[in-house]
Amino acid sequence: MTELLKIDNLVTEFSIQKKRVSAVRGVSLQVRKGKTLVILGESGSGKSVMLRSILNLKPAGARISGSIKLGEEELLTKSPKEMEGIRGNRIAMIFQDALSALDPLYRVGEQIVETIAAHRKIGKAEAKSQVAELLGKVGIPSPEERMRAFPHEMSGGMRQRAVIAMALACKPDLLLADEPTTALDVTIQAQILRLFKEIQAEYGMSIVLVTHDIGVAAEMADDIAVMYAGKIVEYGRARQILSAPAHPYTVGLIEATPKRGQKGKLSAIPGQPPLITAMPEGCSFADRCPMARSSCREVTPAFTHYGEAHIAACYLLEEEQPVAQ
Amino acid sequence: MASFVLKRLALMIPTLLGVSIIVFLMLKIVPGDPVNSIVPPDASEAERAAVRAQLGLDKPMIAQYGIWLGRVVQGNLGDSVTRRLPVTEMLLPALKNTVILTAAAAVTAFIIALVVGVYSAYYPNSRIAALFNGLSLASIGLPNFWAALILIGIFSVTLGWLPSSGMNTAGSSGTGDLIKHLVLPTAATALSSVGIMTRMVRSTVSGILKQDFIFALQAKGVRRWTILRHVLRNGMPTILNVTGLQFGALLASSVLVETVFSWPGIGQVIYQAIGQRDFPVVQAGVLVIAIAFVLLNLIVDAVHAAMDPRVRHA
Repeated sequence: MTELLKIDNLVTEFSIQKKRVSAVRGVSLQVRKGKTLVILGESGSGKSVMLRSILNLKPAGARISGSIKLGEEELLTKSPKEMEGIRGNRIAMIFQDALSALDPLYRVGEQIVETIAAHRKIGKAEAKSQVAELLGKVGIPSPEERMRAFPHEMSGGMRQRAVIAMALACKPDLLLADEPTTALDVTIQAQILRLFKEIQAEYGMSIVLVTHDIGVAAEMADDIAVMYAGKIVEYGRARQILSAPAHPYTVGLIEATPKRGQKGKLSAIPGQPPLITAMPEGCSFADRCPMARSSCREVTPAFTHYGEAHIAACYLLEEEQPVAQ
Repeated sequence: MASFVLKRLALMIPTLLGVSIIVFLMLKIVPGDPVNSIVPPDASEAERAAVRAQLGLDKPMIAQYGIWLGRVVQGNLGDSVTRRLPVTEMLLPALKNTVILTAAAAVTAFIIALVVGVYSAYYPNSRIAALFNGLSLASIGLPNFWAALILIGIFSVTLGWLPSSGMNTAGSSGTGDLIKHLVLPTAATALSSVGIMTRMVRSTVSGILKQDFIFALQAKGVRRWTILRHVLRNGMPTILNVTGLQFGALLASSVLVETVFSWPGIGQVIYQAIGQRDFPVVQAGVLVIAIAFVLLNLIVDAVHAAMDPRVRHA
């Protein structure tokens, strides 16, 4: 078995003013062992909510249904106590803004020790030396000294490294990263992405990386899932999706990204994604799709397969019967 | 830290000067003459003038204030006009009793507000939280002296469980006896502060619960109690600040509550002195309360700085 995480028909619902709305509307995905899955989508597409749903973390009143399997274990039926044992231990998470993800009143070292202590029986001295080792591993100079720093005393890049060290503390099988480089400037971004690759090579963990940045996706992804309005619209191997996108939305996204040497105006996808409180019938991208026809607004398209590992949900493709691969 | 405390101590001086000037002016504005409570009603105008000169009341207002201030700086708060006693001798024992009452009220209010406020923030949609919310609003609305009378009516008169006045039963001085006497005045004093503090704790804690690092803590898989520790640590500076400010309200309500319960505290002394136009006592009493209030808030700020590295380093 090569899949570490298998998500089936995941639905995450909230109630907004007594109305039930779905932020994630039936997502199915697999994360391969030791590989990186990038979830690509614009703000409000439900990608962060989906990521949080994997840890079964939800605001009061939200409901998560479907199936999330880590190895052979179903996570959605686990008790809160059992999920506590999995979070931070077998599945760790990294956030967009490291400053707000750390408690401002606790030293960085203390916060990493806390993670270890939550999952391992360990002495104070040993925990400290582990923290120093972790901080050294993520490239923080003089870790013994930096572990006594408060979050506000570190630079943005250092803080994100510290948060990554915290996520690595229990050697998780799966790392969830929610826009981990969005808040950083470009040079630091590149360093952090390289760090992700190094730790993945060393620990052999799987990574799910959520981003809206196609550059990051191209850099990191083994697989890509393109998310739009709470659904996956295209999913497959990164190389195929980036070189031969099938769904009009993916095509639009790639065309909206500046390329080296490109002259003239950048194309943009017209309009806004639909609000989750007012989802249209049929394909949710139809209103913005240059190739939409009347049938698109009536019934939601199903996935069309291209070989074994590339699928897209669009009527156009069904009719054109594109040649696989 | 030392320079922070020194700076704040220096800032106390203008605050206290301001307080003493306002109290001085207020005493001059209210009608009534302290001489009336000293001389017999049939005293001649000459006798009255003699007493007035003796008390220094014939001098211009600014001179009177200057003389008073000059003595206070040297540690002399003057003598009571009506009781011919040094003011310090009257105020110090009373101050101790007021500290007992306000401290008991502050601790009670703090604990109730913390427990109820944190619960309401954690379970904002529960029926219990709604009940607490209503109760805290009601407690803010009830006047302390009225609540004091109702408490006496229920627990002293009807049920006969608790004493209605004084600090000790005559002839006994045990701690148990003191605590029994303390219950009702404490409840009456703490009442309105409990409501305000509960609402502050609730909004502070629910604000913290919405922050990203709480979510990050959950994602780390730490226990609920560990998260609560982070929540309290982050909320404590705000909660302590509110408590410090409420201390002023507690002292203020003690004036009336002490009077209703005949609690021999500084509030009762001031209340009687106002009735007798005993200016030195009122002046000194208010000054002592102001010093206590400012010092306490200085301590709160120092604790805040000690707890929050961002304030400490700023």
